[in-house]
Amino acid sequence: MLSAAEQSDAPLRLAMRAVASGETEAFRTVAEALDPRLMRLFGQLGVPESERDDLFQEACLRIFRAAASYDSGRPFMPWAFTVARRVMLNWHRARRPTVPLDEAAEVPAQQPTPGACAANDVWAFAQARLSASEYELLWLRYGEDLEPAEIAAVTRRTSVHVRVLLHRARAALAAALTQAGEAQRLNGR
Amino acid sequence: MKHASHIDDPVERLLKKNAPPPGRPDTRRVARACDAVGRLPRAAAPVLSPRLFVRPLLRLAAGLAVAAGIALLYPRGLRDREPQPVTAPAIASVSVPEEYRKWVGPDLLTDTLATESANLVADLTTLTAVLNERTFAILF
Repeated sequence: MLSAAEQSDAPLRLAMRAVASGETEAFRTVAEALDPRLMRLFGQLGVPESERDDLFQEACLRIFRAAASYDSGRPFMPWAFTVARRVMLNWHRARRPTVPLDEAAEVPAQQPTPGACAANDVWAFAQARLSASEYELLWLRYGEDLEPAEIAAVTRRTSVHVRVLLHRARAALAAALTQAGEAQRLNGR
Repeated sequence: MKHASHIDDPVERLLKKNAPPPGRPDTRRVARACDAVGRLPRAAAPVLSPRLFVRPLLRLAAGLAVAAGIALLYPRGLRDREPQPVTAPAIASVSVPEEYRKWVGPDLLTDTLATESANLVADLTTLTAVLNERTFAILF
């Protein structure tokens, strides 16, 4: 029996099969399904809003070109995330933001103050406290609801490695949350 | 994605609960992407990727290479030669030194080996239990 996620994936697999057989119009279904997911992914992984449209378009072009290599027996979204993630990594590499040393002291710290951790801001808190790769794994697992095996395929790691990294990231976040809670409690006194 | 996961960790619960939902598709952006895809030249349209055939072809080539190697390297004389009957050397005729037989008695050797074996089994059991405990603590 197929899960809900796989059932929602089924039209996309059919559309990709049609695209692979040359029906370009079928790609609209794929693009419509990808748009909100990829825009959210790019936003969460540090792509500024002004760049997301270009990255989305580039990801769509790559997915279209690679349609023939997509195995429709496998879930579509993790495969699309893999392509989109590579596009995003290329963009990050090409960009390499730098700050001149003289101005470096004036760059404001990204970390929120310990007391600023409200429960609804937990993702912003995690982004500020964890490394980029830890945050990415947490996002793919709990934001995009991917299984560790799917995350492993997206990030080119083994499934066990992903589980271990997720465990460490959760532990680091829990420790940071506890520390922030303690600091808030002490400041409140 | 495939199984409904049971979440015990409060951090997991917090993260899942507060994940921002995806928005609605932006029709203009989708249209732009579809236009870009439609403008791709014919040659860039999806075709069956050659990468799909690389692995089976490599396997076939490797199989053929092994078969050809065996056919070439297997000497003809060996193929036609009659198998020789295997004869065991007469070990029973070799005399065991009397002194050696005295201090390496079969009972002594059996007891020592049995003790070593029991110790090894106990160590392995302990090691497996500890490893399982640690691994499951991380993974689940």
